[in-house]
Amino acid sequence: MINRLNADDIASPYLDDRAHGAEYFNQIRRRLRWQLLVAYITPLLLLSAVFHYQYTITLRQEIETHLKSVAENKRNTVSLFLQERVANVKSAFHFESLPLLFSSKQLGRVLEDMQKESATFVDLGLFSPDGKLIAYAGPFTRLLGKDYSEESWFRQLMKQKKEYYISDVYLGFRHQPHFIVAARKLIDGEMWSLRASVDPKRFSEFVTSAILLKKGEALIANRKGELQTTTGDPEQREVLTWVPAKGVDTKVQEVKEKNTITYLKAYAWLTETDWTVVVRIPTEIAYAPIKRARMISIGVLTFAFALLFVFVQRRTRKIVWRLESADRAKEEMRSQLFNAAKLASVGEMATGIAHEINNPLAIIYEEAGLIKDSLDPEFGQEMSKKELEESLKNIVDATMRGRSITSKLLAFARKHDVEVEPTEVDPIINRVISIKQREFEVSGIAVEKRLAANLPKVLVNSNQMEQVLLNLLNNSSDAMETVTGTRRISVTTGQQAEDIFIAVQDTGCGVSAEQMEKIFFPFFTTKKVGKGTGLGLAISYGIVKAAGGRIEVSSEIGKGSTFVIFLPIAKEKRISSREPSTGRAEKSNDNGNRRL
Amino acid sequence: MSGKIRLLVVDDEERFINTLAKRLSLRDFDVTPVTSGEAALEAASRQEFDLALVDLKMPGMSGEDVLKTLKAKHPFIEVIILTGHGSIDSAVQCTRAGSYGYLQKPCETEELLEVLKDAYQERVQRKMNYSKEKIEALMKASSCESPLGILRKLKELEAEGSD
Ligand SMILES: Nc1ncnc2c1ncn2[C@@H]1O[C@H](COP(=O)(O)OP(=O)(O)OP(=O)(O)O)[C@@H](O)[C@H]1O
Ligand SMILES: [Mg+2]
Repeated sequence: MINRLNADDIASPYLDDRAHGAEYFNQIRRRLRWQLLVAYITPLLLLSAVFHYQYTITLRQEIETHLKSVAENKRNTVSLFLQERVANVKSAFHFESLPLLFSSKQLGRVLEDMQKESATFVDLGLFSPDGKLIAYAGPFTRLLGKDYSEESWFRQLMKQKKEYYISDVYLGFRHQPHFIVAARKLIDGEMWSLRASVDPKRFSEFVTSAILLKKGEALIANRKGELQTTTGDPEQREVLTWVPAKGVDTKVQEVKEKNTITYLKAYAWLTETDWTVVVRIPTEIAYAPIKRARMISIGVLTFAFALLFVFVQRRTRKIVWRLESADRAKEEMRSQLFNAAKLASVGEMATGIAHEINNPLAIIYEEAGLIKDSLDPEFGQEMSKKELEESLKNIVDATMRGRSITSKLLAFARKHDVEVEPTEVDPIINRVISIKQREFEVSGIAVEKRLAANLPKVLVNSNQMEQVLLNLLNNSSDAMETVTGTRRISVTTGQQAEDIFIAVQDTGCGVSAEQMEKIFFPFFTTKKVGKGTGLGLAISYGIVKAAGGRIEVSSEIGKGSTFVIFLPIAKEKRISSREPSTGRAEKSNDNGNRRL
Repeated sequence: MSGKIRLLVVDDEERFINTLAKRLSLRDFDVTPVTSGEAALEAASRQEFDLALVDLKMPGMSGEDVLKTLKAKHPFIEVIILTGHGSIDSAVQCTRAGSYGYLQKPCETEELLEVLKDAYQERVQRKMNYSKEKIEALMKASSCESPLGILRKLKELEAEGSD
């Protein structure tokens, strides 16, 4: 198994994953609220739209069918009425002999009979084949003798195939609105006509009465849309904007009249004359149920939306609150962890120092005690000169040990403010190796240099870099102390992207995964008392970090380890001034380093 | 028994324990210095010790493990921790694990002797209490036994008294 570590990884788990600010949660809240609202409202809206549409269609159809049937009913009754009137006139013509009709008196009787059938008849007149009013019964006796041959009704009646004619409402010679029902008869080769006029007022009443439509009205219009059911001056009567072409089918249409009212209209054509029954109802009223249904559904929907909104609001608040408190808890834990780690690191450092200093102090104390004991007559144990010398040597050694620890500590603390300059790495490597050369020869360690040519310079302090390399070489040679096979250290340099790297590889004992996490901590050592203080890598890491670089380790137990130092290539501009951020970066990394 | 207190000193600082051993020998201790936890356990299995003076931070077996193992194997031994690596946490932990005392290096000789004396006293006391309880229990249980049976049991008890 190969164990790997980038020294920076020690710190990183704590630096990620920051707690989120209020804005973040507001954003979540907003988004969540919209999403929930959309999710809840869309189906509701769709459903109600579909229902509403369907309902509207059904209702419209129902209304139209109703309107149609009203129109058709009315058409049938009007048709029946007109047929009866035509029959009245025709029968008067047929049952009475012509000469009898010549007398206005006789005609008056016939009119009376006819008026018994229908009170709408106003007068009756007999016309000679050349269009003269020969006999007349009714209120407008002055018409007698008038020539009608140029009147449109007369010409029409003479011209057409049908034996009867029903006119539109008009004023005529009498200057009174009326329409006529006329019939012709061929008598002895001559065409005679009998004409009855109908009071449009009565007729209108008849048409417009008894309609099974609330707020609706029934009317009659001719092809031009001119109303026939009017009592006033026909010249000034209402003209409908639109009338469908004459046909058998009843038509329903929404039409806007000149007076700006929109009507829903059903048109049913009469066969007797070019009249159409129009049943109309203001659209507003016709479609009132639809409108009501719409209002109700809008009301219900609004209420539902309000309810949903409140629900969503509460739901969102709750969810976000939960998120927030989870986040807060995490953040709390994080900061606690951070503090604990910091405390632990400071504490660890302190106990590490205490241990390293107290041990030599204890030796000094005991040696001093031993000398004191030898002076004490109670024990009667004088020391030999040799013993005394040994004691003193122990004291001096212990003192030096203490000093080496304090000076290493100083190096550890002082690494921030040193002069840096663009430096070539080759001379540093060569110098350090030459320092160790003798020692390596004695221990049977082969050193292999594979230095890349023409490497760019790096911005470092050369003394510090020497120290770093020395530490690595010392570690490697220490790691190979117990190795019986090959003892070899290879130092390789090269360039990788923006960095120069120096790799120190050994065939030593290797670092276990468990130890790997700790080797950069101050005072972590696996070495014997007095041999290792556990500061070497901690100091090296600090130095490399301050230079803007990093250290990576890979190791395999029993096979060896490789420590790689990466250093950024010096840019010419940076010669005089140090990167301002390095100081800070280094500090935080020190924390990271001690933290674990 | 030689009349001296048998003391096991465990510490990876060889020079320190050697000197300490010399000094304590002058003060009538029978000192066995060893430089690792493993060596300490081995020594304890070969010979009975009254007291043990144990360092905490050692390569290999830690002082705390040595303390626990010693206490488990030899119920009457009193263990005193002597370390340069003092912290309240570790002191509490060791006390819980059954150490009699917790001393910090460098430790004044008088203080060390004082603690060693108290620890030894404790050991003697505990041993005596133990025997007394045993005898009492035996007497209570054996009111109906023959004198010869009681005699045999008492003999066993005496042999058991040592670790
Ligand atoms: N090349 C290596 N091979 C195997 N183990 C190593 C190697 N380098 C370092 N270590 C492990 O990392 C530990 C810490 O190393 P570090 O250099 O920080 O301290 P040290 O060498 O023990 O003491 P110091 O360097 O202060 O004298 C070592 O004790 C050792 O266990
Ligand atoms: Mg080292």
